[in-house]
Amino acid sequence: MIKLDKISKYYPAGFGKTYVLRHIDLHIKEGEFVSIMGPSGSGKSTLLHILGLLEEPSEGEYLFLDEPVQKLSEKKRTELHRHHIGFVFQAYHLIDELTVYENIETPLLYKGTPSSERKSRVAELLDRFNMVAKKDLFPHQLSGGQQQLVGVARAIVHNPKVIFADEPTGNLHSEQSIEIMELFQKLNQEDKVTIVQVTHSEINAGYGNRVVRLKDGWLA
Amino acid sequence: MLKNFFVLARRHLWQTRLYACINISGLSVGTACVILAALYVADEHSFDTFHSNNPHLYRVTSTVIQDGNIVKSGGTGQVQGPAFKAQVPEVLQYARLMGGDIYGDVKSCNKAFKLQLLFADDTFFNVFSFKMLYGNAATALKNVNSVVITERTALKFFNRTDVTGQTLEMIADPSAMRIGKPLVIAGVIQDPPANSSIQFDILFPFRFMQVSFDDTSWLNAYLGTFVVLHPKANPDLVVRKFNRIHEINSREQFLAHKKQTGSSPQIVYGLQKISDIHLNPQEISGQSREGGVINGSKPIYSYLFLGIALFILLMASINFINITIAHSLKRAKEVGIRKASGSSRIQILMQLMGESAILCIIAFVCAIGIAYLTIPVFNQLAGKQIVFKEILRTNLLIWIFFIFLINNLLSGVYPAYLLSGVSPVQVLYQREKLGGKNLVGKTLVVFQFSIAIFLGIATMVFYGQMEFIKTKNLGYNPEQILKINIPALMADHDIASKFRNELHDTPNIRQISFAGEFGIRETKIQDRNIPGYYRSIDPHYLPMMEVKLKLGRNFSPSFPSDQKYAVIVNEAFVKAADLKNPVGTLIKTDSHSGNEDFTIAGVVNDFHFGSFRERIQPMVMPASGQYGGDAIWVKIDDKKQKEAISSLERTFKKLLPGAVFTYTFLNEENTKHYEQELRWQKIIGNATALSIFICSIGLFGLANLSVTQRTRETGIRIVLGASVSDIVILFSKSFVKMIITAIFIASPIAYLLMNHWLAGFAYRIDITAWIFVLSGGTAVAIAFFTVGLQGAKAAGISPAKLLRVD
Repeated sequence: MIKLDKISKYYPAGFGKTYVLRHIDLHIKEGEFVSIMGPSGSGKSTLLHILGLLEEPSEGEYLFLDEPVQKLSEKKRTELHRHHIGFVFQAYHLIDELTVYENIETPLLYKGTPSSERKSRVAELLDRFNMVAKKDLFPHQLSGGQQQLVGVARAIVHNPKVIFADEPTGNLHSEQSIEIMELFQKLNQEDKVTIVQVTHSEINAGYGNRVVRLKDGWLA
Repeated sequence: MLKNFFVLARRHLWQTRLYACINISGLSVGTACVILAALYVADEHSFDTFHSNNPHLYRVTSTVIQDGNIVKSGGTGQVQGPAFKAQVPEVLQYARLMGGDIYGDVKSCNKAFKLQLLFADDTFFNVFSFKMLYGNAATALKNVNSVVITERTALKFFNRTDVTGQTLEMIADPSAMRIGKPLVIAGVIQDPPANSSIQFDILFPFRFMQVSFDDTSWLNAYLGTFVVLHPKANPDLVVRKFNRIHEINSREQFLAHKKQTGSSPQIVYGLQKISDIHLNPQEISGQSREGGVINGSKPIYSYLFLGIALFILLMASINFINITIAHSLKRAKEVGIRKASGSSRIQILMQLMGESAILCIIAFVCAIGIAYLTIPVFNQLAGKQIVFKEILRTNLLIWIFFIFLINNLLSGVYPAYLLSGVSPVQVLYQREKLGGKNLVGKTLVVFQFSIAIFLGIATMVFYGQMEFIKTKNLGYNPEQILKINIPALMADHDIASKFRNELHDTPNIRQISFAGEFGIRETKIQDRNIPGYYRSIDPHYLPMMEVKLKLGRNFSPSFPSDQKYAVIVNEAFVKAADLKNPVGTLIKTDSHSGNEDFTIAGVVNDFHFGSFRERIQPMVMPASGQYGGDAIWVKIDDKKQKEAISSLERTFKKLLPGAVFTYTFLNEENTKHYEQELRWQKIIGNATALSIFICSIGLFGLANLSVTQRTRETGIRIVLGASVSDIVILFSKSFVKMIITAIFIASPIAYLLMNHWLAGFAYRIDITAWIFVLSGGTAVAIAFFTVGLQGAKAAGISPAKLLRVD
């Protein structure tokens, strides 16, 4: 499902370049739960952004669902994004001005899902995550764990094939972390969603079935 | 503390230099407008204030009440002045003036010029304060053939100013011919200042005019009588005395008038301070403006200028307020930290106000620079000759600074108040946005755009009406017709045929006609009086002008009696006189041509000889051969115009030796009717451009801020699948909504006001929906473009970058 072939990422620095990622070859199959680990500054987040189509690699080839991403038009890439990718962030990144319900609904709006379907899908998720009572609250009225639950709900509302999570429990205490990680495991096993997460925690990595380690931009 | 303040202020301004620039440019343009408008108003009020007899220098006005009509004018006749002086002790001096719109050909040293003449009593220099450069003011106008000229005129003739004792010659002037002596220059004065209502090139003794035109009627009102009252005099009492003197002296004349015409007008006198004349000229009725004062204006122009300028400044202030409020989110954190470290609200308020004061002072200095640089353009627009130095002479600058200060206080206080009031806990822990929905800010933007849209609509209506005037079929073809003035005494009845003989083989000249304009005169049909315009014409006139004959026939050489006994009238005349079979109808005129009885020979289709402000008036056209005329009308080819004009000039000089050759194109003369309109079209057009500029930079600033503040949100939305157009729409939506609100506010107001303006035209356009659609559409497009561009820019940035900001 995901195939990286000699992917590099660098930024111009003075007369030379600073490499963030070097010659990454990576293959992720559908249904996997992969954890990317490594020390700070090793390029984990950049790799995740490239995988999630938020950034473009400087070199190399990236096949997403067998399509060469670099050659796709902006429009096509947005399409892939809308239909197949969900994102979960460390800082939740909910939209402050929107309620819980509206935050979860947003990806469906961009996907163009009809209103009735949106309603039932959001209701279903609220129910599943036990958040029906909170649907009209704004993000700042929720605890961190609850915000991240909303973040996860928003990431899967449009039934993506893959979820990219950037330290999803980084801002949470351990009890909340366990709740989120168990949720990921469940999504992976029961809903067959592919998950790629960046994490510092070996415990979190243990929920997945494969670990990819990075050091100074190289695959270790 | 103070040092800390300046360091912080400087850094903060530098950090937010884009917004600082927007604020400074808007405020300085707005203030520059106010400065210029204030200069205009000051100039308007400075008219005629230089006379040392102020405030006791008055003009005698007369109000004529006749058949329920009340006509106020600044005119009097020749008899009032001397009679009032002789019988009212409070009248210390008087001077009668006749001129303003009187021109004459004057010759000397083989040079001839058309000069603006003014006839005045020899008390002129006692009453008015014009500075004599050479000659004795007390005796300058004593002799009937002595004249005083201006510096400008002296330079024109002699290339120097010390020219007392030199002689001049009047061409074709009845008085000069009777006197039979050349004019002797008895004095040279400084040119009348630009802010004088009394303007002239050459000053004649009143007696000079009286040689050919002496008038003892109390019923006339064509010249200006100025009086200097005793400082302790009560003007109301003086006026009462005037009226009594009038009653006694005019009784017989009124009785005779009633006997002759059946009407009995009543005249009531008044006094008007000379310094009030400019803004209330009470022009003497009809077209002739010979009462000595010209360049009259109206107070409405001052109000309009000031109003427009203040609105532009207001719009700039709105930018200021909005940008500051919108920007306060970033500063809220700073304020929170300051408060947490023990600063009081007042201290923060002072810091914020101080920063806006620095901006404003920079803007004020820029404004003075802008005003200084743009004053020539402004003078051209406003038809003024304002010198920038004026700003120093008057206490105008203080006044402007005061307006500016108030404006700044108002625009600085609100955001500072709002921002200094934040609770530190709220901003530091909860990232709450200030101002909530920012209803005040939105209202202000709506207000701002309402003004811009209003001005846009006004510009379009102005433009539409002026285009209508330019392109409407006038009923005749004014293209390539020029009018050459002929001095009255030289205009003999076959002058046109002389021209024709001279020019018959000049290829560029198509037609030549001799005609004259005589203003409004009364025509009698049986017992009814019909006022109408009199224009004398010859047989060539109607074909040349391409005026269509509706009934009857044109003048023709094969009917020799036409010269004396026939007239052609227009449809409006037929309508006004209610004639069933107009051709052949007998009419009676005044005895101008020595004959009072005429027969209507033909009726022409109505054509627009006046302005579009009034309906086409009745017109009577006698034959110029007998009735006389004042101009040769020539139709020339549009190619080789210059050659045609120079051959005309050669012929003119040959046939009318000594007369000054001047000509006007009929098209130009027609646009003269609309001088004020054309001027205001330009002014409002410029104001619209400025207001759009200020609105756009304000909008740009707001959009820029909103994009900066919503960077994170933009990133999230892109991650969630939003496309560029989704983001553009997201940002533009709220702005476009505000502008649509503004359209709904501005349109009805503009509709009412512009309809009111159009009501001043008898022939006018209707305000159609497309004007609103177009101006509203433009505003929406500008907003969408300004805001959308920023949105698109944000959407184009990699979302990874947008999210990293946090």
